[in-house]
Amino acid sequence: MPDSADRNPPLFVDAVEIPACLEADRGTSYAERLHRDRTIAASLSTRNPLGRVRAWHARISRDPESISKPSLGQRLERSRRVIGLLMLIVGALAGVGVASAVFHYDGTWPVNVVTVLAVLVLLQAALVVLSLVLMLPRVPGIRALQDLMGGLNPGAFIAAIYRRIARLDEPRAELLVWPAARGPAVARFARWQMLVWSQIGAVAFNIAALATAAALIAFTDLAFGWSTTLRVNSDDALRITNVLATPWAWFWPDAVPSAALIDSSRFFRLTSASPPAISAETLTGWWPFLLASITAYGLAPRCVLLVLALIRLRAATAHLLLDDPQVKALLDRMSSAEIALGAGDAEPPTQSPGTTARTTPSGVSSQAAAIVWSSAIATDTVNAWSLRNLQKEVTQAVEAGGGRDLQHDAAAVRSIAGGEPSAVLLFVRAWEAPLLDLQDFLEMLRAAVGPACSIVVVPIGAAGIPADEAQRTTWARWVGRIADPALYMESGA
Amino acid sequence: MTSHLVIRPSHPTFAIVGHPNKGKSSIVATLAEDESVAISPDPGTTRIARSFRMRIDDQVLYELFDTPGFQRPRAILDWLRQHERGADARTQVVREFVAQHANEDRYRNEVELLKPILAGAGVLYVVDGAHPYGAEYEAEMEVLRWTGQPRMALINMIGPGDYVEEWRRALNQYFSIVRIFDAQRADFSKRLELLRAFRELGEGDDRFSAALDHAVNVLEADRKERRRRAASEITDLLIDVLSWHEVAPAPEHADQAQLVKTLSERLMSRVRIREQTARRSVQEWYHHGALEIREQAVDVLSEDVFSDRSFVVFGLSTKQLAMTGAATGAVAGGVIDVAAGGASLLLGAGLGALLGSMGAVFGANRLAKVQVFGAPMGGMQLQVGPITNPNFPWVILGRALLHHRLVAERNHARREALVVDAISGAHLSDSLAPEARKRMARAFKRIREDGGLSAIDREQLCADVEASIIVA
Repeated sequence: MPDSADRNPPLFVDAVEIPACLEADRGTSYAERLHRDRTIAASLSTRNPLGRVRAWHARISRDPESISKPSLGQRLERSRRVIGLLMLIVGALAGVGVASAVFHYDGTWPVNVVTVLAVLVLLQAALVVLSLVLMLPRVPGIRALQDLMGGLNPGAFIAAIYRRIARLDEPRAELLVWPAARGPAVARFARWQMLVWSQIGAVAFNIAALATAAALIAFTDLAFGWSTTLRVNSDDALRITNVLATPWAWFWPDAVPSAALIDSSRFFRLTSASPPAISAETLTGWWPFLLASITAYGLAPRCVLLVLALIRLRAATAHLLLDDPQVKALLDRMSSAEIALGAGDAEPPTQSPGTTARTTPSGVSSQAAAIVWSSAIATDTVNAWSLRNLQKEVTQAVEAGGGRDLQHDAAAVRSIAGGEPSAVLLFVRAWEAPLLDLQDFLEMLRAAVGPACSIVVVPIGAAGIPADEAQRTTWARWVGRIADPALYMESGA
Repeated sequence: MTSHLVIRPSHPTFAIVGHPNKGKSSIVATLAEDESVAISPDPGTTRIARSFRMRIDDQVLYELFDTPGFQRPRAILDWLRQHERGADARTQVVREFVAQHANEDRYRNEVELLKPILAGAGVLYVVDGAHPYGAEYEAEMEVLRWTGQPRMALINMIGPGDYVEEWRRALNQYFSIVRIFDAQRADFSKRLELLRAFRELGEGDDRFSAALDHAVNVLEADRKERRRRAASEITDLLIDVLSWHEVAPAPEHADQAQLVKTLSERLMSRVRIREQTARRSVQEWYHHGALEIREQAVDVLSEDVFSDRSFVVFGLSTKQLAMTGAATGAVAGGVIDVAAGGASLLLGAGLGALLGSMGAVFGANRLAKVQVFGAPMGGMQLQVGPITNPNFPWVILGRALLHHRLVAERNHARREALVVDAISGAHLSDSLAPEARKRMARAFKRIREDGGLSAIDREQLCADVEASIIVA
């Protein structure tokens, strides 16, 4: 099974959906998540955290029962593409428009090379520098400038408009609008996303400008000249053009304006007439230089910036995913040992505590025989305790249970039954749990004394103090569970 | 007839046995950190022997058996004595008893508790040292002696009484090892101590001791890991609640005061839910998932995070706020000094400290920042947050530290509600080292400004929170 995310959705979709999945997954118990994630991790061969997380998601997404799949990631991915396309269109239209304007020639005055260079080279170079400033880390000093430029960036502007029109109200949509992005990882992603969009627009602008210029050059008869109010003579112009042409001069010498061309193509509108002294063919000699300039100083830097921005965007997207606390916790679970301490099976349902014991009816005799179970009270104090707490006189007292054997119990029962008592008090240790051993004894006693004899269980605390409430409750439930209509409980409390 | 072979389990195994209601299940719940173990004053709550294995991945390090209590020990002893063929055959007689009564309801409890012992489990016999000894215990201790397995007695304390010495005297007659273990109050170190003591039941078997030593090491490492996870969760809680804000369109004629109130309530509700989520996570890591249902009884922790009392109990004092604010401001001012190359004669740091402390003190009564700004496509928007009250992160931190401490210390045998000592929980942030407190204050400031922290800054804050967990 492939671990890589070959057939996975784009990284951005995973970066949005995996944290959302993990957030929804918090309802699952930690033990379950740990077991599941450890099991998935054991089947992965990749050690790369990004690959592991994405492979985990691919695996978990196959099980529709395990986790709900939010579709926000796909919506935002589509939005990213639409915004990118919009930037491409806007850039291309701007390129066509600007090129059409600066290369405009109506047969009177030639296209001014200085204007073309100012708009398509100098201005673009300045914008490239500003893009580079935006690409720098956010450090105090240039932060305010970066914020300002971020607000003015066409990528951010179009993304904000698109978010509004497409009604992307989810907080996660802040990923698309840098000024709204909160948090370092989100802001870093949004910044590089904005830069990618703006570079797409800029590349489209330059390609469109070049194409428009080439089309105008090919299909119309443009004439070029140069004119400026500044004190620039032909030698200065030659020096400037030579410097500008340095990148291509070695392989395209025809695109380097000659001194003669510069000298002959200067014009002044004050003369009220277009330059007459040179041929139209000579006037067109500027175009290779202009196309090479736009390519070298407009298109090429923008292509480099676009590639750089795409690389950084991918890294920012990976960080967006890996810096998420839920994803960190997932990686933690995938690499943690699974320690289990609890039971492997569920606790079986417990028995109902049952009803409580009946209290002794008023008609029961004021005299009774007594059995002291497991030395609950000293035999010689039974009568006094009973008179004081139960208002019953003890006529006979025997001991049973505790360290004695079963034969002794049987003898005690025989002894009590021989006196044919109308009531038997059974003193038990209140703090001890009632056992089946005692229940066996009670059954033996009932068989010996007959059904009419009242048997009263008397739980008694340590050192003869009455049983506390919790002890009474425990014993009352136990007595209540025994199906004996003449079995009662008294505590003297 | 069952064979005479001595059975050696592949891992240390212990059967926790004894009279009903003497805390067997409490000891298991404590050692296994399992709050689902049924603990009840009614006898017979545990009806079958349940296995609790400590596993690390697929490796079993030890196994505990929670067993039903003896119900008819004298009847069994009677049966065993009737079938006795000499001391060397006593274990075999016990086996015969189990084999003969395996399908009988009468001796179901005894069969259930004897099975794991006969399969090789060491015996952990539990008694209640808070109540007097009784001769009725002798039958069951004698039955256990007949099994021939290594035995340890654990004196549990259920209640305020103290009958430990009389129990010791009796238990020493039947058990070579007698220890006191208060299942309800045993903390983590006591648990480890008991596990180490279990080695004595290994009778010199090195594999037995090694497995228990390994278990202790794993539990200690796991404890640290839980603390680290809790610190990470608290850090993310702080980052979330300090960076959140609420935004809504604010039409020109809207009632802005009402809108601010609505957004503030929405923001506070998110904070409350987030705090609950963090608590649930921490409780899960410490296997206290069910604690939540009793949380209404928790005094200070159930107090609303935004209440005045929470701010008084968990927040920093005015003086501490001023000092922390001064430290943060001084750092900001220091940047000016650096930029000025020292030409400012450190006035930047001094002024920053003054402004920082004033801001911290005077901002203490305001909860969140309220801003009105233009929307990208026109219209106005109103934003409430992030929460700028300087004491707020300390309240969140203090509550989280107290909650963690209570959960981490909580014994799994206890079923009653948490009892919170409000005073001990107050100003937990006080215990932080001043340097760490300043670092954290700077991190809080950065979260509010940037909406979060970089990975490196988050790690630093996490380390500071973990240190404060250890101190708290």
